[in-house]
Amino acid sequence: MTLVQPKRVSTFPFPKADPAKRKKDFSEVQQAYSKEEAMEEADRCLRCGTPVCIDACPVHLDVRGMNDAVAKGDFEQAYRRIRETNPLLGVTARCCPQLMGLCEDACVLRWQGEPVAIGMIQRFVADWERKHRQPDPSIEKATGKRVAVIGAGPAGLAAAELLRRYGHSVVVYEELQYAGGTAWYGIPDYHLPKDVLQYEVDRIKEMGIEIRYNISIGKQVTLTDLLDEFDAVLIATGCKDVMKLDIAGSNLKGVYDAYDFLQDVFVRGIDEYIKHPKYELGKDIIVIGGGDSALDAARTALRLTNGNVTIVYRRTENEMPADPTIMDEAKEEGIQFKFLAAPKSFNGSNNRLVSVTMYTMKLGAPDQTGRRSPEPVEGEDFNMKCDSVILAIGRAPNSFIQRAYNLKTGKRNSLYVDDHYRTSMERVFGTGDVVTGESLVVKAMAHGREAAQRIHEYLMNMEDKHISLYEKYYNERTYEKFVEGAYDGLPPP
Amino acid sequence: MVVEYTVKRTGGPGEAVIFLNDREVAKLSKEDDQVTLISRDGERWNISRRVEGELRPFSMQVKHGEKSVLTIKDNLFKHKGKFYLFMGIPEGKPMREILLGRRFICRLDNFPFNEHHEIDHETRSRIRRFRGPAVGELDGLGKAGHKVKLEDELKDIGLQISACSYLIYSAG
Ligand SMILES: Cc1cc2nc3c(=O)[nH]c(=O)nc-3n(C[C@H](O)[C@H](O)[C@H](O)COP(=O)(O)OP(=O)(O)OC[C@H]3O[C@@H](n4cnc5c(N)ncnc54)[C@H](O)[C@@H]3O)c2cc1C
Ligand code: SF4
Repeated sequence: MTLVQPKRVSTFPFPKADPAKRKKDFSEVQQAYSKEEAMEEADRCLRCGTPVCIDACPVHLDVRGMNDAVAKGDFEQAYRRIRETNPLLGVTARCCPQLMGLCEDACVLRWQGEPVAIGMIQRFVADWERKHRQPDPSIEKATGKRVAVIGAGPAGLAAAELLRRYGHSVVVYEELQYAGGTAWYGIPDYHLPKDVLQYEVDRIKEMGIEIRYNISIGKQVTLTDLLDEFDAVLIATGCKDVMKLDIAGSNLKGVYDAYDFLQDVFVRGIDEYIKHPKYELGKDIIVIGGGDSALDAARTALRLTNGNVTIVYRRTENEMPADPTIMDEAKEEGIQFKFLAAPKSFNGSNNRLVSVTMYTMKLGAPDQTGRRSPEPVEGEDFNMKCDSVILAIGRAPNSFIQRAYNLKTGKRNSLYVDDHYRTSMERVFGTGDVVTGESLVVKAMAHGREAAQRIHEYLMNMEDKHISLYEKYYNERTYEKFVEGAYDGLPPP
Repeated sequence: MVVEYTVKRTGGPGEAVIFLNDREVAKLSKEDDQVTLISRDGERWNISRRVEGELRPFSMQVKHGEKSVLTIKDNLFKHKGKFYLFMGIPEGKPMREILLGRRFICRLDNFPFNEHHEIDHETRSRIRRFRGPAVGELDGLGKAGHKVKLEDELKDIGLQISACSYLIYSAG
């Protein structure tokens, strides 16, 4: 029995630019839907009584309400509905892995074919709004309370936005000269053009949030200074502590860290980097790692050099944590893969890398995650010639502030917080990747919003009346209200 | 898989009938926010989205009287001392294979926690990195019939698992 249109209006998962052309520059891979395509795709939505897509979205974006409004051509209403819980709509539309445990993975149409292309519809609405500016969400009466947020990444920005809407005065401290955190300097422009992020950061600032750039808390300004000036402080300093490979030759010229590499390439804008390149990558490049960052480093290196780029991963493709849709993009562009191999030593000549000795690996017993552990196979080492190696083997939480102020830590020096997002220091809260480890933009935002809700309850002495943002959404966005069209006033915080 | 349940929507999302190998064995009925699972012989279980005092996505608590029979929290549940993951990725299967269609319940054999409350922020945020053998298969939208196939080890809570699987993932 076919109940629904099983296929998307366009190719699955979304239309893409020609790989032969796109791999030569940093232009966007994903191609937008036209107005007609967005409306037709939105109309595939069943407007479920139990919208599992919203449950699966960490910020509980009103997907059902958006689809219904877009299908009717009412983009204003669609924007208002989704802007309510997400101040980075254009960003998350482009860089959320929607099919990997998020909205599209959960959509009930997946049982009968392809899920609704929620990300593409969201992208259409966000892009439409850039051309047809809509009012900002409402802000409650000033409370007289002041909050400092450390870090202008997705977690800090989302928290700042919600706190501001509750009527608090918010100042964000950022050690770089740009806002957006890893979304600014980590996510390559071919997935997230900088102007999309910049526009949304500017809109957040226009709500009355001050961002003080080039200030590192713990260096120029101390946590104690902040506690003197503000009623509460939120630490949202992300991940930064790079994992090192302690093997022979790690200090050779030509062995680079992927996170430093991506930051150096993107932080001042790709055009600036191309004018003043810093890395000597050569033509044969090896990237070590199996996650999305390895793919980003490889595809960035390919675009900068037009060389031969090979990703080396110690397990098989089946165990790779990278998003398979991004893997497909990389393969289409000509990135090579070598599975079941791991570096044993980096070999140099005149202090410059010339090759890597690799272990051949095999899969052994499952580890704690249930994935089979890689083990070296004796006597089967081999050499790979190369000009440079980029290591993308993971980043741990940024431990600087925890160490500087002796704050309680969790796994891998993450910032410990209790269920109220409180750290071990009075009036200091924590959120985002510095607490959870490397996650996703949208998950960091959701964490930031939950922390903001807790801070608001703390500042207003309402802690005993705590209500999670999910419960709030669940109560306010019932199917009955949706059908009556009864929830379309100005969005409450 | 040794048992196969089919849940078919009859009215609103909380109203359905459940078949075990084509024989009707139970129904779901909803009043206000309360869903009740009622077997053919009149046994009743209350199903709530409130887990540990909070409404949570991908979470459900099934109670028989005062006794909790099944607690699913953020897709994870524990049964006879082992953790299981709804929407899991079976060990050895490529992720691309599960982008569309069937979903799986996986047993997390080496899961490093004993209780729900011990699971840290990082593990919850990266739960899809965990793999294990598939001991359940889920397929189909409730309107057309949501199928839940289970291995022997989940048979004794099969009815409750099928009801929750339908209510959480496939009610539409
Ligand atoms: C290469 C790469 C690619 C990624 N791609 C994606 C993707 O495609 N999609 C996706 O959803 N996620 C992606 N992620 C993950 C995502 O970017 C992060 O999960 C998210 O940005 C975390 O947000 P955050 O606010 O917690 O931390 P961050 O984004 O890291 O922000 C922390 C901010 O705090 C600032 N800061 C740190 N210390 C101080 C201090 N002492 N004083 C003042 N400021 C300070 C930092 O400069 C930074 O701006 C990617 C990550 C990487 C590394
Ligand atoms: S689950 Fe899919 S079909 Fe149902 S409301 Fe969400 S997007 Fe629409």
